[in-house]
Amino acid sequence: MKRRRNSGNRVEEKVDAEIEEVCEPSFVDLPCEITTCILLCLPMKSVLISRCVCKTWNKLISDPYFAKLHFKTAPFGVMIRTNDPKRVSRTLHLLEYEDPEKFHSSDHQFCFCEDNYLKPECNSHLKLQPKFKLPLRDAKLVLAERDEASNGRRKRTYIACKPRDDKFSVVNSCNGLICLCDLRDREPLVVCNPVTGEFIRLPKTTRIEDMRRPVYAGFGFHRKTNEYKVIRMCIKYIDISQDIRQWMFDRVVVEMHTLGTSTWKNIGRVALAFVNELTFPTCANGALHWICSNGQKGSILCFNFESESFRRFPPPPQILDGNGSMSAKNINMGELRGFLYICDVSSFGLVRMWVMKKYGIEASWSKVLSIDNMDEDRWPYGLYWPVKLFKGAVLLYHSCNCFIYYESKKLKYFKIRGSKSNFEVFPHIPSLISLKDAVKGNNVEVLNVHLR
Amino acid sequence: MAEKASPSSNSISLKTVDGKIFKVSPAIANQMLTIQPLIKDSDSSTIISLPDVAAFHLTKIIEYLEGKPAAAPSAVDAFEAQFVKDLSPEELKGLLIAVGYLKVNGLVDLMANTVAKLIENKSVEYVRKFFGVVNDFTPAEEAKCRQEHAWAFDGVDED
Repeated sequence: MKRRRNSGNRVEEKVDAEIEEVCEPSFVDLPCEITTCILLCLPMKSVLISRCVCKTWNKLISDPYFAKLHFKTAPFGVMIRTNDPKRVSRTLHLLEYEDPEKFHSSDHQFCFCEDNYLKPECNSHLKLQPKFKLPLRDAKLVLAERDEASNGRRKRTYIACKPRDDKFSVVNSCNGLICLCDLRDREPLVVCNPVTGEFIRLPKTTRIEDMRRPVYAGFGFHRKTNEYKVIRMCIKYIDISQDIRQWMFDRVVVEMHTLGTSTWKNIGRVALAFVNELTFPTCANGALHWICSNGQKGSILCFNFESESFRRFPPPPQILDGNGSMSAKNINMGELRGFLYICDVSSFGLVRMWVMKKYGIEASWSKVLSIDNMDEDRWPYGLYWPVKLFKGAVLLYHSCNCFIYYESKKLKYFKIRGSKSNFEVFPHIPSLISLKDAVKGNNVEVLNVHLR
Repeated sequence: MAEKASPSSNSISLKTVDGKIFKVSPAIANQMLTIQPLIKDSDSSTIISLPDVAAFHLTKIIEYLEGKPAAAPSAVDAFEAQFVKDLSPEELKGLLIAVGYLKVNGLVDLMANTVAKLIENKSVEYVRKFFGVVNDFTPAEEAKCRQEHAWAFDGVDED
């Protein structure tokens, strides 16, 4: 884009007798800063559309500086993936509505609207877009098979994969990056940015034979050092007899990998009682957290990146039962604008949510949401998961494939259509920040799902 | 903000591109960051010429700068919504250019947000036409760019 006038001395001491020619203002005159301001206000989908407008815009959006600015103001989104046990879905759908207006003014349903499911009435549905691709477990093998099958002719759009071998599960999302793990043993394997399509394979770990329990992992960001870290915890058994294979608990192995390095570092010990039923890994306040629901007392396990040590703190006391334990089935944890939150739906028709206002201080758990809907006939049974908080309203995901928008004691249902299977839903802030800029170190091979 | 009692408290004259002269208080003029450095040396005989700003736009800008502080803190959102409500896309464009040139406190963000709402979920062609941007991609470059984000072009609003 060219600008007609260069900045210079625009002051005239006396009114010029000449009257300047009045011409229609054009956006071509718009300074880059203003274009940037406009682009920063757009949701991810429109930002990516804007890349194709012209070279200047493409360059502006590709700039790491823009990526950082956009991430700072990017609204919380939700990633949705179909969870069919028989298929491998590589597609993530981002729900990024920032404007609650779209929910309470709309009677529409959410809709994946895949090609094979296109129905005329889908035109009026809220679209679950944009879509992103996850990497494949063994892309070379799968793609080689596909190429062989297509035999030089048109490529098949459908790739046959086996979930057991090819599917990734999601550990958690942090700062626009997602850590992916093995479906069965939950070993962390890949960190990816679905928006840029980039991914990094994590170094191999020392796997232990006869693993009877899954690995507990978590992915987080250490703000002080600007490093991304993956933590894995597994229980090590030793063979106590030479003749018959008899395994005894030995210790809990805790390892940490810093993205950009090539190793897993062994770090300290943690008591066995802690490493049980660890769910909802959440990074907040320079530490990783898990809900630890098994054992005598329900608690939150916390790993601090700076001290590289574990500690526990209690959840909101209201969610513990008489024995001080809590049921993991109906509880979830996440991060909301830097604060830890816990949501509990253990009582029928009662959804409660707390935010830890002062980090690490039990007394600071404050209830921010309480939906008592005992009398509602339509209140469906299942797991409720708050995915987005608006001013005075909340968007919940419900395990029967729908979203529920709750505002001033009124519920609104949004059925997700387009797939018969269940969905996996997790919070995610979309980011244009390249893995190459996010991860320091010489040992990084950044791959891309688009470059094959 | 400039103090009202300062020696340069005389009103500042701003001349728009269509030749109209507006007299504004230094407190208002100071919020236009582009002309801020010029105000100190100005006196009542100074006329600052604004080559990118038409009278209509300057009227709106002054309306905003005078109206926003007058609104109660809780009413600021409502005031801003009202301010942009009746503007046509053409007027918005012109005002954004004027606001961008003058770097008006607070108004840049409001205008950028309003314009962003107009191009949200629109096609590449619509955005080009709206902004009057010429496509300088080669067909191959454009195809590659579109290919990378093929999904983003599904289901955009009708132009």
